[in-house]
Amino acid sequence: MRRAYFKFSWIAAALLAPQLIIIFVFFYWPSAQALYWAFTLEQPWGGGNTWVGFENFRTVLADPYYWGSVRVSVIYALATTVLAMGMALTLAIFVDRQLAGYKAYRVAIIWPYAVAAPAAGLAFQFVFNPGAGIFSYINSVAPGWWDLSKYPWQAVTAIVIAGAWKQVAYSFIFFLAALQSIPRSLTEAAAMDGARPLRRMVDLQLPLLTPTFFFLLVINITDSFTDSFGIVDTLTGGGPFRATDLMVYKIYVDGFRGFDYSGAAAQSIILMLLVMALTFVQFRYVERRVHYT
Amino acid sequence: MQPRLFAVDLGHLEQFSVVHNVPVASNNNGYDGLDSQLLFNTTLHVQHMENIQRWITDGYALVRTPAAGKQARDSFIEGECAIFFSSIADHNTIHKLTPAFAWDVQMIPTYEGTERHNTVVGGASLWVLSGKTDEEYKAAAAYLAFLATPESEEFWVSNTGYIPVTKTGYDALLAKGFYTKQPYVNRDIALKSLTYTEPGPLTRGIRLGSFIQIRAEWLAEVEAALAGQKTMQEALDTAVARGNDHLARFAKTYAGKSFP
Repeated sequence: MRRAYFKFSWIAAALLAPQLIIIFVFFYWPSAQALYWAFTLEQPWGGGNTWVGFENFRTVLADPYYWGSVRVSVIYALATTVLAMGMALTLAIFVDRQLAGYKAYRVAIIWPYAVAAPAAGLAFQFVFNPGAGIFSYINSVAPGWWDLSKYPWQAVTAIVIAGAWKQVAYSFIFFLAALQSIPRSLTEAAAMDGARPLRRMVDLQLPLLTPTFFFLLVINITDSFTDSFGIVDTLTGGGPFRATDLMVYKIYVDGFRGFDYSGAAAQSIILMLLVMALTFVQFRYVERRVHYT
Repeated sequence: MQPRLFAVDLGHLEQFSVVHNVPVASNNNGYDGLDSQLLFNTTLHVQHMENIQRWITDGYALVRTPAAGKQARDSFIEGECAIFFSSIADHNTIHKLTPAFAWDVQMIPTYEGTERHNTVVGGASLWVLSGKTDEEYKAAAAYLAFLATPESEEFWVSNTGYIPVTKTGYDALLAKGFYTKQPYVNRDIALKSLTYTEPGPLTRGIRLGSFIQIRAEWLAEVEAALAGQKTMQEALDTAVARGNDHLARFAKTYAGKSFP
């Protein structure tokens, strides 16, 4: 392998500096601060802290409700990822097949990505509202059957659907781009050999999509662990009785509402480790089955 | 749907305890030290929450939480429920939303056989912290004096729906006949409630660390009880045990310190 090296240049350093400063200020610095706080008891209004070692982690990990939060976060991440990627792939294949009106759909499906999570949460609050939303029709048939404030599984279903809806757009763009980059000659050759659209999809398009598939899997899982806050806050507020208290939402509630900075910092570190571990597992075991051409 | 008697939002801990002069926590609701323990699972509050649970089962009350997609106030304005409990700021809001029926405001009800006490203020407060220069304190004092002028008070009261912050401000408003004109008629019921008795050790307020998390524990447990997962007593016991953990943690954060 040929080695390339670059001479140090002040211009290059100056051009890189803004980006590096942004990464340092908004990522490394807060992360380091969180790591420090996780090992101390931090006084909410400033004024000092005490070093407590691993006590914050012990407190968090000994709390049965925290494990409930981890469980529902994992369920949420897996369910939204499967749902979002499934819908995105289906829609991308339709658009790629150039079904009627595909140009309008191609633009329209990208829109949800521009909707902020709290706005999406509010919109779905109207959809799922047991008294006034679309789901209230269920209640007019079977009174009291649909009620987010009573039934945990319904609340979880609601945030999964809202979360997936929000992530469809992102996956859709990537799936569509990947589908369109498959050379026409391959598809045409398969068609001449007598492969029908479904056969071409299963044997030709999907295998060629695996790198995109893998990329989206990593992004979607990470995203659903870290970016679900807005939807939970507007849709369920973590309830009923902690059923939708996702890890990232619990961090917000403990840290910013309850001023337990240390407990929230410890939870952030655990969440970070969990996301890193999941990403590692995906690269170690899933990526092996991915073929880059 | 048949109209119900109450719309219940889940916030019946503090004002209820204060108006009945029963403690939320030991140490006079936390005023006398950091080593406080919660007590609300041993007072009249338990009976009250059990009553609410029964009213819901018997169809007299409806629970309204954000997850239900509707607040107690909405149920009231729509005429779904006849009574709801809220901050006095909602007096202003309801006037603006103009419900299609005659309505009025009253002090929080108390149980038969108990004696009514004063209630406490809630919401945001202004704080002056220590460790600043004399000049800065002069400026802070001037600002607070400005807020307490009758003109500022009137501006504040008519624009926010909250109460005047000083007795002088209230008297000035009364002298002007402020509370005899709509939409302000009876809005001073809040002041009457706040000053109903002289504040005692259990009614001057609640001073507990991590109180927001304690409330969250209370809410989650009460929700679980209302969903039939446990009895109300078990729920409140759990909330107290978990709340006490928060208090112990807060005391540890401020180890060796005491209240000024």
